[in-house]
Amino acid sequence: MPGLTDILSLAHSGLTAARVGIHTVGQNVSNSNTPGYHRRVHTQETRQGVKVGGNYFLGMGVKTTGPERIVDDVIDNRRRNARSDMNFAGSRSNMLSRTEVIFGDLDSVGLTPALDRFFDALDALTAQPQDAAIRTQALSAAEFLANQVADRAQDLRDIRQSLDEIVVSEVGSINTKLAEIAELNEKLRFQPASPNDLLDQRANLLDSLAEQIGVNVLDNGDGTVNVFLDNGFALVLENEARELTAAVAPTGLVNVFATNTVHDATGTLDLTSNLNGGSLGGVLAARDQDILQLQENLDQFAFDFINSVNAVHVAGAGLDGVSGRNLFTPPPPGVTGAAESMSIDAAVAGNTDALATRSVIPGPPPVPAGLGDNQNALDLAALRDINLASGAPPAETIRSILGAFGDRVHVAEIDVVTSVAAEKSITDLQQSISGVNIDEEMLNMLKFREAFSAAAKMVRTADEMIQEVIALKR
Amino acid sequence: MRIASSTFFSNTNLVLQQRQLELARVQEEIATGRKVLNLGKDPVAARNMLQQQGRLRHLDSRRSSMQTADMLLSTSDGVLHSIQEAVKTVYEKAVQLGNDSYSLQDRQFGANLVAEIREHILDLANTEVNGRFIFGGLDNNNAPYDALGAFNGDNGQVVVSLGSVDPAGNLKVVEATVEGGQPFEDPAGVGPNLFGIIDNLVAELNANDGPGIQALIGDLRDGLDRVLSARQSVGTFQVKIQGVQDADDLSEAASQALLSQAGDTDPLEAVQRLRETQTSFQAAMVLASRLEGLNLVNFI
Repeated sequence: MPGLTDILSLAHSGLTAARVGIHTVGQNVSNSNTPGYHRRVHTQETRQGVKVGGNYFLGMGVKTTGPERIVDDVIDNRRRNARSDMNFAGSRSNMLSRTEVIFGDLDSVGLTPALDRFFDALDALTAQPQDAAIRTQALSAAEFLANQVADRAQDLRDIRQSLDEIVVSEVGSINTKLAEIAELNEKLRFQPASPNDLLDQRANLLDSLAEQIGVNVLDNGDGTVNVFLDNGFALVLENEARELTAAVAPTGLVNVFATNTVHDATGTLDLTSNLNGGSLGGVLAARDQDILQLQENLDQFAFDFINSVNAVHVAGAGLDGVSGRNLFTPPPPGVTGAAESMSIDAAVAGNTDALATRSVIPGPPPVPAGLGDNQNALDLAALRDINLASGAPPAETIRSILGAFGDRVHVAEIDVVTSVAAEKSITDLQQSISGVNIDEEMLNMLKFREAFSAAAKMVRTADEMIQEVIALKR
Repeated sequence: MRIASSTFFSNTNLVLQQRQLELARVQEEIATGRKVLNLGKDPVAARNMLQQQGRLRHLDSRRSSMQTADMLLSTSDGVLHSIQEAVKTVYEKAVQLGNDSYSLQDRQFGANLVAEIREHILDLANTEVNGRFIFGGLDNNNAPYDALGAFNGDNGQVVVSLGSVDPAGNLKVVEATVEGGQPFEDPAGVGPNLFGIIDNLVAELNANDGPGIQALIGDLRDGLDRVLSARQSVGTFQVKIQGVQDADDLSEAASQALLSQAGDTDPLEAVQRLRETQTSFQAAMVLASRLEGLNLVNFI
């Protein structure tokens, strides 16, 4: 039959449970703002009782079963994906906004005004084809247009190249996280106890990783997790992490490659197009999709426009009677680089007499029309409304290019708004499960303090009872 | 449903940032007077703005080209008017001096006068504007008529681009001059030009040949008709330019309206929005300031 000292033991278990409960409250309150922290709930159960006299059991107090980490893995994963999407949209939108400002067309500077200025100068040239000032103005407008196109193309290249440093830096940081996750997997594998702090640390690393690149996390059931890209490429398998490298690709830009430290060992793999989430994914999407498309469109425009203008220009003659000269330097073979290389042809540069304003009367031998003839200037001016090879007149083509880019910027901004809202919604849900509520903790603190006081009173009472029993012997 | 304490702060932070962003945007809108400041804000409006801005620049440039053409035509008209008066005088002299009642002396005196008028007409036929001889056609770099009255230009015509093409793909133009030599040359290219006719008249006057003088009256009438016809052409071209300018004025007003509609801020609406945004921003700040102490800690 339990003695008086058992009451002391029972009270002691209550004291311990209350103390652990308050400790849990303290842990929750201290970490209420810690990223990745999941609240703990104090759990306890009745300690197994002792059978007394064969008829009944007497309880032996309480057993603390430890703080339980409150987590819903499904919600955590959804939140991780939402944060990845939000960072993807944010960094992509930032990059596009940075790019957008180089086109000041809405403020009457940029490509469309330069193009208008070129054709306006040609119109003026049709009125006064021999006027030296007008010819200078026309050549200057052509040069200005060429510079504008070339400068914008160079700006786009610079912006894309400026992202190389970001890629390098992000890859370094990602590798560190992958290694840490693998290391934590090792520590967490087959742990009998629940190492909550390590789990939080790993969850926080996974969150942070998802913010950089989109990842999928698979729980292996043995305390470890595997981490994959969207395409199934393994970044972490249990306690092994694959190291990523940032290296210059054939495009001249830095891409992300995988070196083979997990399971296979055949060469390197360019993962750039598979990084579809997080801030790095957003930067790469802007670089390799949005800005690249703009660059290609600009190249196509320059290619078509130069060829169109040159075809007319070579057919006419300058004031010096010479024909067959290009106005713009012919673009390089293929379309790529046409915009950045756009310039006035050396045969015409600095020589206003070389502007082919006159027509050439077919021969034999062909002879230039009179000095006042403006037929070729008229033909050049007509190009304003004549479709390029792409199917639209030059100004409309530029507007279409800028409009298409504006659409991308706009959609990216909408993506930011929607992804922020989605992230907020899922974060609120995740926090409602795993976040700390101070009021709740304060109530728990009061509850455990009361329990502690009661248990302490029990000790005192048991002690008094023992003293009284001892006094009986005197 | 539970709620985490940090949710209060993160939500308030988000609301504050959103309100600040809205406030900054509406302030910028009011300061600039434009609601579309970048391509991505409203791509459809931005496209419209680019189109209308281009249209306005084009109209501005076209106005300048048409002014050049109009200036050439006005000069042509003035010169042709003087030539018309001079030829008319010669014609009247021919009619007058063809009468048999005039003596040799009268006719020689008349011949001197007509010769002087011829020189005057020759000077006018070689009128130059900005280094271009307006009756020389496209070969207008040198005086079209030499002292003998021979035409050294061509029959080309200076036209000015309107900067757009018609549905057939032809550039729309306005004429800035009459065809080279048109006021003076025989269109058939057979008979003498105006100077040749006047030279013949001077010869007949000096020869005191009344029937010969009378025989030239028809040629002189034809010459005068050619000058008048050229003036008519100039008038037609000027009317055409005026028509284009009138249409451009309407087009400019329409483009300005469309540009404003696409990109300009409605000040009243924007100020109203500013007030609303300020109010909601202030509410968010009050909310943020009240977060402190909103928990049980302060009551234990």
